[in-house]
Amino acid sequence: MEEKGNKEEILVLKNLSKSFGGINAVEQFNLTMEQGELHCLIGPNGAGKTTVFKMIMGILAPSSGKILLNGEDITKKQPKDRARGGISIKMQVPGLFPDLSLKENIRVAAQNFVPKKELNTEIARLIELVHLQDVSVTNPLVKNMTHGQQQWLEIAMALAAHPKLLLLDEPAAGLGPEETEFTAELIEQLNHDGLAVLFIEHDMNFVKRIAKNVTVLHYGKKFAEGTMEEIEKNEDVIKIYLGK
Amino acid sequence: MKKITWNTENIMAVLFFAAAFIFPMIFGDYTIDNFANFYVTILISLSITLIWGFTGVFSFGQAVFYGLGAYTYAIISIASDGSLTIPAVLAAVAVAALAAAVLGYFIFYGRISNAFTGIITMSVATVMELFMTQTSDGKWKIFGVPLGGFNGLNKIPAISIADFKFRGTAFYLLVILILLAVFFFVKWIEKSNFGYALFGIRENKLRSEMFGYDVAKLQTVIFSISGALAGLAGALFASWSGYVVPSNFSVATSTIAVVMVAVAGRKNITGTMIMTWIYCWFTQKLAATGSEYSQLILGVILIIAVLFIPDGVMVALFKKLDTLPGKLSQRRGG
Repeated sequence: MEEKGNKEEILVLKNLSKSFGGINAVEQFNLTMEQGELHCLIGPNGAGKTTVFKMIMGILAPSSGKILLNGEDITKKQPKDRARGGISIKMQVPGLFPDLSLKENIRVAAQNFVPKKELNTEIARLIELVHLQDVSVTNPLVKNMTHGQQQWLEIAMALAAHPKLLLLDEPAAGLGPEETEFTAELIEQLNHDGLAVLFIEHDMNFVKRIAKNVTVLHYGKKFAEGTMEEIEKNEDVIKIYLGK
Repeated sequence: MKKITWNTENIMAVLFFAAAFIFPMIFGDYTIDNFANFYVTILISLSITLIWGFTGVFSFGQAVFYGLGAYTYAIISIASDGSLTIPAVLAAVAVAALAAAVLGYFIFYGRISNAFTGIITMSVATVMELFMTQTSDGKWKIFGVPLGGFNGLNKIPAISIADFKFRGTAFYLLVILILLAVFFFVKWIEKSNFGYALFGIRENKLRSEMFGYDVAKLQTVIFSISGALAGLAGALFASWSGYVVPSNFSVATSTIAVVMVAVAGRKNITGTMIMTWIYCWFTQKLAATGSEYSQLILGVILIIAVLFIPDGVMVALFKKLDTLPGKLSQRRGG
């Protein structure tokens, strides 16, 4: 039976589990995100963060548990329907179209969500949003762009789907200090405009800079949850993760 | 001053079709009739461009749809004693499209990997060929037309409208007009949202799903369109040659088209058309001079080309020519 949840909650994960051949990557994981929330998922390598993301997007089917989007049970839905339902993702490994140009990449991402007449305006808007105007003049093939440019392009493409919930898997990975700062500003701005963002990040300065609420994952289980200040003071978290 | 640029691919496309229309004024009837089949072969190459070049699905079985198109046209045109040749062409396209849709449904909704898609399509072509060779018994009839086993069907009526039979130069011009229409159709796909959806699938299937694309459906649709195009080529071949045989389904038919597309540059429509034409011309020249090594010589040339110019010979050539206006104006000191 379909379970109806609270409309105020954009995302609810209920007892979500995933096992790979007997190994529990994620175990009985619960998470609730309010509309417009900026939430960070942290945890040591192999804690199951990316697995959680893949289950939210529908790339992996959970072994058990439920996923609710805006109160609607989407556990059995395919990735394409989740995308059309308002979830968008920037993956850990760049998921771009390497042999297409910058603008063509955004077009592929955007054309399902805007009328054809508005496509060029939308592409220009997204390019401006992630500050790729200079690069877009020559409109290079994506495989010839720098790592930072690719990261932002992917964020632009994720936004092309006009999501209600944006998933970002390590948005600051491999970026220099200035690039990281810009990425942080961008995410804050998007969140300020009302977009709910769930992100995974290893760079703790980055997390401290933008995250309001943090969930710590350890061996596939929820280890701690709270505001950034609470998590920073949590001795157990410090022991397993922050390493201070 | 405005910088002079040109798009070599578009110029070549114009030249290609201009040449096609001028040829009948230069060459004799025999040569033109011979050329007609070159342009039919180009249709098969374009069907590969759609499925492989645009969508990244490797089909080694275009001969299935080519053969089905050829046999469908042959059966209906013979059964109707030459009175239903246009419906026969349409039926050939429809049968090929339907066969491709059914085969594509199992391949793409079954999420079969790309390498296996090549093997499956090739196997189906082989099975079709074997089956057709074993239909010599009189019981194998469709609409009263015996399939003829190894010998196939002959005395196939040419495409006709009322009393006008498309033969020789008339048939040649008909094929050029059809090819021109197909060219614009493929060009339209290349620029359309549908085309970009296919490019996304080619580059990254999983990512495309996450942008809301129904990947299996789009793949099945383009596979069916590609099959329809090969079926059309089959029907035109049957009308042109007057006979069909089981070897129309042979792996060689599929392979040559794949190789042409690979050598020319698999995303480039004009390059593929020119490459296929040159290949057809070259094989005939080599065969006519009595060299039984023609296929071998071509094979070696093609392997070398693919090894050293993996993006495609025609693509590389077009890129070189694209820079020509700039170089010329530099030389003039402009």
